[in-house]
Amino acid sequence: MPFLPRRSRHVGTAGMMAPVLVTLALIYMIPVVGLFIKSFQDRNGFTLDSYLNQLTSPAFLKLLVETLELSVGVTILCLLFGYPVAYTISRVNKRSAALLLLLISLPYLTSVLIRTYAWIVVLGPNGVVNQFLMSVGLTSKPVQLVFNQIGVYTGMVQIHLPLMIFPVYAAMTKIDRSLTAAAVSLGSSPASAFWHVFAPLTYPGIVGGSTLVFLSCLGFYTTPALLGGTADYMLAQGITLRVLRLADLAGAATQATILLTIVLAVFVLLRKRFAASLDDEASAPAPLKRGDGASSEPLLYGLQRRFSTILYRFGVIVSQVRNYVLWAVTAAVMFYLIVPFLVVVPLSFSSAAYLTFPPPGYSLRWYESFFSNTKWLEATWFSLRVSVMAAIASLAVGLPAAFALARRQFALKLPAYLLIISPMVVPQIVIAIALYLIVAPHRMVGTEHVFLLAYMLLGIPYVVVVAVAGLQRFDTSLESAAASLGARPAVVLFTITLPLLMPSIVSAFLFAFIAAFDDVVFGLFLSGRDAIPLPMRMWENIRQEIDPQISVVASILLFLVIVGYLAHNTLGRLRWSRVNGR
Amino acid sequence: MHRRTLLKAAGALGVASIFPAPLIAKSLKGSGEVVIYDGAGAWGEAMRSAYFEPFEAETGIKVIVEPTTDTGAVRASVMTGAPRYDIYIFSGGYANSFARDGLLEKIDFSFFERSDLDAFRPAKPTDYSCPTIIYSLLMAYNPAAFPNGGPQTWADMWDVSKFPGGRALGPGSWGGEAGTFEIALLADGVTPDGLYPIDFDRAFRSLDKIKASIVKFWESGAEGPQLVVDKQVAIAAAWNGRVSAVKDQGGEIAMSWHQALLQYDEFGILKGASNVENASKFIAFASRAKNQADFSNKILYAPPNSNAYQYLSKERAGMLPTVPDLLALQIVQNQAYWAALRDDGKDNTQYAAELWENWITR
Amino acid sequence: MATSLANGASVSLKGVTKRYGNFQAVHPVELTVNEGEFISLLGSSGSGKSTILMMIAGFEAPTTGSIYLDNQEIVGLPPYRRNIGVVFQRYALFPHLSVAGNIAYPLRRRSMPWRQVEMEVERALRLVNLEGLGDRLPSQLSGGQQQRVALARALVFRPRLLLLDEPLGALDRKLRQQLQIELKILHKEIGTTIILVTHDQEEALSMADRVAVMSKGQIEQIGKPSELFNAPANAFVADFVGETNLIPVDVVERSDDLVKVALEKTDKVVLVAASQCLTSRGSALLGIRPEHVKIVANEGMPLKIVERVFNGLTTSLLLALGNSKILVRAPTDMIGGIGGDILRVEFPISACRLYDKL
Ligand SMILES: Nc1ncnc2c1ncn2[C@@H]1O[C@H](COP(=O)(O)OP(=O)(O)OP(=O)(O)O)[C@@H](O)[C@H]1O
Ligand SMILES: [Mg+2]
Repeated sequence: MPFLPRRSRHVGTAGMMAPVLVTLALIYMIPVVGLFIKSFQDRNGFTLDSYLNQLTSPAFLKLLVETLELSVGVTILCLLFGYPVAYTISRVNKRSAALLLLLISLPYLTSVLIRTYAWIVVLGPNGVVNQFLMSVGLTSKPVQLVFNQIGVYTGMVQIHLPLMIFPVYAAMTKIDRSLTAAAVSLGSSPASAFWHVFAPLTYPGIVGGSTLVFLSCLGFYTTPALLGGTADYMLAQGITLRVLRLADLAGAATQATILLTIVLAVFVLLRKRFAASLDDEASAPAPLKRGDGASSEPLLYGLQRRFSTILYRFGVIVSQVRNYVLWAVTAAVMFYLIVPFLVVVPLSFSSAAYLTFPPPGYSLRWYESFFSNTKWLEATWFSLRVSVMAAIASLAVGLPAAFALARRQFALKLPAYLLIISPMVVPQIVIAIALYLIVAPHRMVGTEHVFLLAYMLLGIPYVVVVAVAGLQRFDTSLESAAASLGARPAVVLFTITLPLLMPSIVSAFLFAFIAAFDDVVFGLFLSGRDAIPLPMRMWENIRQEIDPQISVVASILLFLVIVGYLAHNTLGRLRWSRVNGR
Repeated sequence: MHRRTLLKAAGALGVASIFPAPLIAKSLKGSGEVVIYDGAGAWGEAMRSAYFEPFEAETGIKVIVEPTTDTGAVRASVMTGAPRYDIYIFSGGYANSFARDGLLEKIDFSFFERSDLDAFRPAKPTDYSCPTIIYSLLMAYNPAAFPNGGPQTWADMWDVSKFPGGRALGPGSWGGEAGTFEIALLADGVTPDGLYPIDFDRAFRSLDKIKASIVKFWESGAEGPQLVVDKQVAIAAAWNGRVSAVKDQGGEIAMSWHQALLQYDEFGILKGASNVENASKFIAFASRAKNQADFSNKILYAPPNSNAYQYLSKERAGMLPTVPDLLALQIVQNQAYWAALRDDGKDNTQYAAELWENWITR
Repeated sequence: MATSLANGASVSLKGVTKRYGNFQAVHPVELTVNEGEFISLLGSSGSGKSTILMMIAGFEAPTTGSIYLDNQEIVGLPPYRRNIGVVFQRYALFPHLSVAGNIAYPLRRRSMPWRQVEMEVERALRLVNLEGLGDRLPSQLSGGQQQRVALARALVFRPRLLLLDEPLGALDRKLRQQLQIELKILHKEIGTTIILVTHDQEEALSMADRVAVMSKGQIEQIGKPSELFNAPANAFVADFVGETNLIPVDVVERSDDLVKVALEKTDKVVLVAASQCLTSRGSALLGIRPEHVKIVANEGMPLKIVERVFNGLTTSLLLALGNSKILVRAPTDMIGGIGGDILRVEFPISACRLYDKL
């Protein structure tokens, strides 16, 4: 807590960073560094050949650039679509906010595979979009909307929108509305009030959300692979190919190292921005301080100014639109997010043995086979259980670290932050094989523990990024006030800090849970006869045949969530929705 | 060099059986367990009823199924000294590269019946591997798109003016496994006996001609037929089992067996496996004609043991790619070629994957 | 609360300093606050007022020095064990708790039975005139109401010392004046020692028993409001507390009871009583408040009027004097009618004070 005397604060900082660092060291750093060392070795010893080969390969460089481009593009689109939605949610009452946030997290319930298939149906030549375009006469022939960049962006943005909306929303809930009102009263136009007062206060949320989206995009290849065309090949796809098929671990490690290096370099270049976003006391948000750094970093300055200009225009638009326009945008984005369900749910009742939409007939056969097959039930239970535990464990080690990062001054703060988020950058397949090589000799494969640890690795970066964003602009005088009123630090934490941080904690939990619940890659390496997660079952299922079975799983999860929501609404509100809304 | 040629020869087709199988096979009775890959899904189901359950009943050896994973993960497990399975099923000729790298145990063929061993056709067992299923990579198309008769050969697939519509092929980054290079060469007029060694330049030149019409290089075997049924493409390369299944279920899809590529998967016993002997026993059991027939009755994979056709109905046999009529139309893929090392130390699959990445990002 | 009072606590700071890295935020400070006293820390922004308050409350540790509460050293004691009420600059009301929940917070921390908590909360709400608003959330209150909730919350556990950090800074003038009066009445009623931080001199002068004027981390002067106004210890205090014209002068001659000074770069001579001379140097600042400049019909110094500002009851005139300007303020009915652009003024000896240069 901020009121502790100096020395004990430093002891505390170490204590707060230790759990996360120890966890990461064990399950991430040691394995991955071991693998990376391999990338410098060949039969004759140390060599840079592998690096030279990759760096001189036009294909690799092109993939790298295209991967970065796509990640940036998706991040920008997510910001453009997500910001107004977050804004709307932050303005409605808490009940509606809880419902909207729930709707936003729904897409995660469907596995990537079935969701992607839904997009193929929706965007295909006979899909609703093309039928609409043709019926209004915009086109006479179906437009190619899938298996190209349109398809890739449609799928990627949908998947990543929640990662943007949650942190931005969390930042917005902390903004005192009277500030914008005050600005307007002081003579600024609503647009400039929005831009100069409101938007800057959401900056930590934007940084947090953009970081999550960008990093997640880098390693995300299933969606581009399935919705893209012949040219949409991602770096992570090539790396996965090397690990899973070509047995070229050195090549995979080399590519992953180069990707990681570039991304870390970007972070270090922009370190002032991140330091600012990590620093509670940082006053004005970075993009607004047009003066600073202008001379020393002309390139960044230019970029930043361009970005600022775009954001500014955007801010002007957002603030000028009437409420109903904002609502229309929100509704459209919401619709976009849940569209796959409009395909997935009917599909689960299909009578056909293969995926076809609309289904030729309806039946319960896929539900019967789901409930009569203990494999599915066991896998569902396993995944739910381990993912929840992993999400909780990620919070347990990630939150203290987020506190230290957001509130303490210590040496190597930025490196520590980069280290913690780097598992999102290193393609998961590389981490998985590295971890596997370490744990397999100890007969830990196929145990719940190893999944718990591996899933924590997925959850921790989300927790830390989201919680750091949540802790920005946290009014620490509230904690001081509580202390002055007689609350000891632990009491302050539980009565003031955590309740107020609840929106961030809930979204961190959700992301950590979902990352684990959706994971196939660790499953590929770590599954054992008694430890098979649901996505592995789905993956096994679609490997040979794509049938409506996986849509049943998605529909059941949807059903459970709806039941849960209704129960929660009738039985009283859950704690988090109370703190959530304004 | 010598070792390589030898292995190549062993892996090549039509080599007479060189295994010391006795006239009367040793008993398969035993104890303990054997840990096996089952391919999951319908494949796993078929294996369970045709192999696992009768094997357990006959031998007293318990069959344990470990979850499915990819070749790369399996290789890693062998290298850590804790192989994930006793028996893995290799596709795409990977058994050859495992054997070459010393990652496989020898199969004890003394558990095999001589008659079974001699009946393997067209793919043969090697010291380290034993074929288990045969399937065919063929051309699937939407019959409604071609009312005047569908495409027959790969050259037809390349003929966009005669057979308009989108195309889907497998990814060349898989090397030989998705058959893309062979298909491109056949479409360009290469004769089956001139396919190997693959002329990659010619293959890519051929692919250049069709690239504009290719909607997608699929990423899983089920995707090809799915694209045809969804009318996203008119013609796709696809595996016969899935195409037939979709067709049986009323899906609008047709196929051509002409120039289809015959491929096969092989059992192999992973180095360091805990149950090497049981594994050999299981492979012997799963190589029996009767058992393979039971298996092929469950799923449309052809039995490598040609004696199995004695136990299959004519109708069922007619749907399988190795039935003589169909076999004559097809080309057996040289899977060993794809696992063979090149002079730079890479195998042909790795080499092809690199060329492929260059080509698609061009 | 008004009935059973603990007396206020005494506070004293001995040689307290605070450094942030290389920056000395507070220079050695000596300050004693008597039991039940209402003292105000007055100073410009960044002068270290809040820092001192935060050190007393325990949120910051002094770099050196000691702080005593009722003669007990409290440095090192965590804030939650100090039993000091604090009202923060922006109130720091807990947004997720109702008004009643906010006020009950310190009582709950003290494990008070809930019936009693309810009664105490009611009483506190009454004390600050907020009966019936207990169920509202802070965001549903006006600024003045929020301020009162913050006050009620800081008082409800009967601390013997109350620290107020610019509690009225965010309020409009009218509300501020009203609350100033209420606060003063409250102080009389409950007898708690109060330290009020403000940069509003009127507020400090009108409310506090004694005022400590701070500048750049130092206390320039401590005293009753009238002392500060009438006998500023230096030019800074003279200027900060009320307005003062500070005119550069050269000392021409010193005698036992008089000092003769010449306005810089002119031959105009002004007399200052030796008792009002706080400098021994040759060049100094002559301080005279705008109200004390005497306007005369003839003789005196004829000065050019640069600007006139009408303030209502008074009118201010800005006059050019050499290179500098001086301000003169007088009742509007007296000088409102003065025409022309020259005004004749005199500096009465009783109104002049000599300071060291800043
Ligand atoms: N945590 C800190 N680190 C470094 N410098 C600080 C810190 N807190 C305060 N300071 C500096 O110490 C000085 C005194 O700050 P303080 O907050 O006490 O001023 P103040 O008198 O309360 O001003 P205001 O009227 O604006 O509130 C300022 O110059 C400030 O910049
Ligand atoms: Mg202050």
